[in-house]
Amino acid sequence: MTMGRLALPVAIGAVLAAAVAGAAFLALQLLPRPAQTVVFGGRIAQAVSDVSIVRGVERVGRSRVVTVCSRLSGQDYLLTIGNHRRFVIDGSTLAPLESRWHRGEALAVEVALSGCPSLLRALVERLVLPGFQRRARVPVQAMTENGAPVYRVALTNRLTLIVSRRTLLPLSGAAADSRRDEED
Amino acid sequence: MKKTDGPPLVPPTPVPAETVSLPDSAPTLLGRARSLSTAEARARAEILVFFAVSRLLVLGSAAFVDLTGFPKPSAGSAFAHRPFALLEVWDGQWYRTVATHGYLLLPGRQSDPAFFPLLPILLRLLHPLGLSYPTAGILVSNLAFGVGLLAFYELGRIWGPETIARRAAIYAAIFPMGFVFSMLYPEALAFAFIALAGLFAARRRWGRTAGFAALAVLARPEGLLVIVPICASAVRSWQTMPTASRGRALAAVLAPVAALIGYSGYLWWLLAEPFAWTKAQLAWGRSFHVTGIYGAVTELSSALRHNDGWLFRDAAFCLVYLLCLVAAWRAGVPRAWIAAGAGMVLLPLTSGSFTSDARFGLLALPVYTGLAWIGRNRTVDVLIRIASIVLLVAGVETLLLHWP
Repeated sequence: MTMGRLALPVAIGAVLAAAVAGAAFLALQLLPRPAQTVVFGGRIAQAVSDVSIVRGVERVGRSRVVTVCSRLSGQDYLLTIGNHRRFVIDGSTLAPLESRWHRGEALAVEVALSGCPSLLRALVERLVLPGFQRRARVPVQAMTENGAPVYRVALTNRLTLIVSRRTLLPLSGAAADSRRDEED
Repeated sequence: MKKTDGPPLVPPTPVPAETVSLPDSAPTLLGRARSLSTAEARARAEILVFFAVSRLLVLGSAAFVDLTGFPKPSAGSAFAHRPFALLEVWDGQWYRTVATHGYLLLPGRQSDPAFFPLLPILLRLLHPLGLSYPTAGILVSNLAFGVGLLAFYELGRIWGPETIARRAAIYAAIFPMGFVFSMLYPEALAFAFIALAGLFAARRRWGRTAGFAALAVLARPEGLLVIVPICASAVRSWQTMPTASRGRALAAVLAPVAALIGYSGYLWWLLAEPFAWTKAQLAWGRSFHVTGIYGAVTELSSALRHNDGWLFRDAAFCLVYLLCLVAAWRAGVPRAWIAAGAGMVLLPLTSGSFTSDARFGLLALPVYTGLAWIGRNRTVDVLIRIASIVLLVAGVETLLLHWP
């Protein structure tokens, strides 16, 4: 068969197949859509989750502490605070941290703000899931910081996360008056 | 075959498929008379009787579990408030989530893009009629299964003798894992659309083939494998088709992929992640590797140690499916359908687990034809029917213990 004789059926087939794809896309519009901020929160969680290593400088009061959180495997991270304190962050559960949080916030906040991706992700998801299930918006705010377009995500009453508007990667985190910068 | 006004004096002799099934494009008086013949009407009635009885058994068993909580009495109170609540469990909750809230992907977490959109779309369409999502889902599943059985019977008559086609449809109706066809799961829809796509492909109705094949994929990803028999039909007919028909045939071949592109495009547009449906699968441990089948066998060998005896149910069904596919090949089912069926049974194993393979294999239509070929002996036939019905009820009664 010549190419010419094949071209017309291929063209007809491609057009009809494209129509099928378009019809499928349109049919999907019948499904509800979560709030834009919820979808956005999911994307931030994804971007945070993809990060393998976060280096940061924490400023708590007058002291400055260098932190490094690097992925060991999967959702296991090695967190190094200063030169002496090392923790293995296993998985993404916040429960052990939060149990300390009530007794004294310092360590928990320190760990959370060190920016371990699995913990940041868990904090973001904790906003996103209820927002998805209750059709509510997630507290994400567009703003500029040092002239750069960023989003500010209020993770808790005290904790905020700043992410790049372009890459959605975390730039910095802050707890009330204390503040810490992170870099990928 | 001649139409008669009264009932026949002797039972009609089953007529081989080749002489009964005429293409729709030949609407002769003879063809119409044949399609309305008493024998066919009886066959359809018999299939529908088995369909009705099997569904009553499934619904009745589900109601029994709802009322008693058997075999987990502690769960009884959770179900007592709504009839047939048992049929909404496990993945049914996810389809309900999609219908209620839409899609959202969360990394490393079980997310709903893994659940294909056709059933939730239908739930949304029926909701304004006053039907709750679970009620609508169970209704859709059961109706689709009835239609699917009749379509499968017609397809089976194209594959081989009418008696085997009829028995295959009956076996499908009472198949032990077939309680899934009454659940808030899209398997019944996929079963119906795969059968209809195959039927119209065999009849060279390419537009309808394309539509049903696309719907099959939007119901379940296994629907993608219907490409194989559609492609075989198109290739067989290619030389004798005019140009426009060739274009439509090509569209029918491409339609399942096009539907998947439509779904991926939607996820891209919504979540900026076109492959969210495969990413979401990762949280269930579903990622496909070449060595996956070896991993599945290895997992089976350690299943008892890990208290996961249910894997043996899935592995046993997998074995039954493969034996039935061999039987289907012996029965003369087209090889393209055998290949598609084998894909539906074996491809999930490449994820390294037998988990849910008993359910995935339900859509491998030649399995039922192979079983019908094995059951051509009267005694074997009776044994298969009795065993199927007992296991079907047992499957519903143990639904609380493990997901299908």
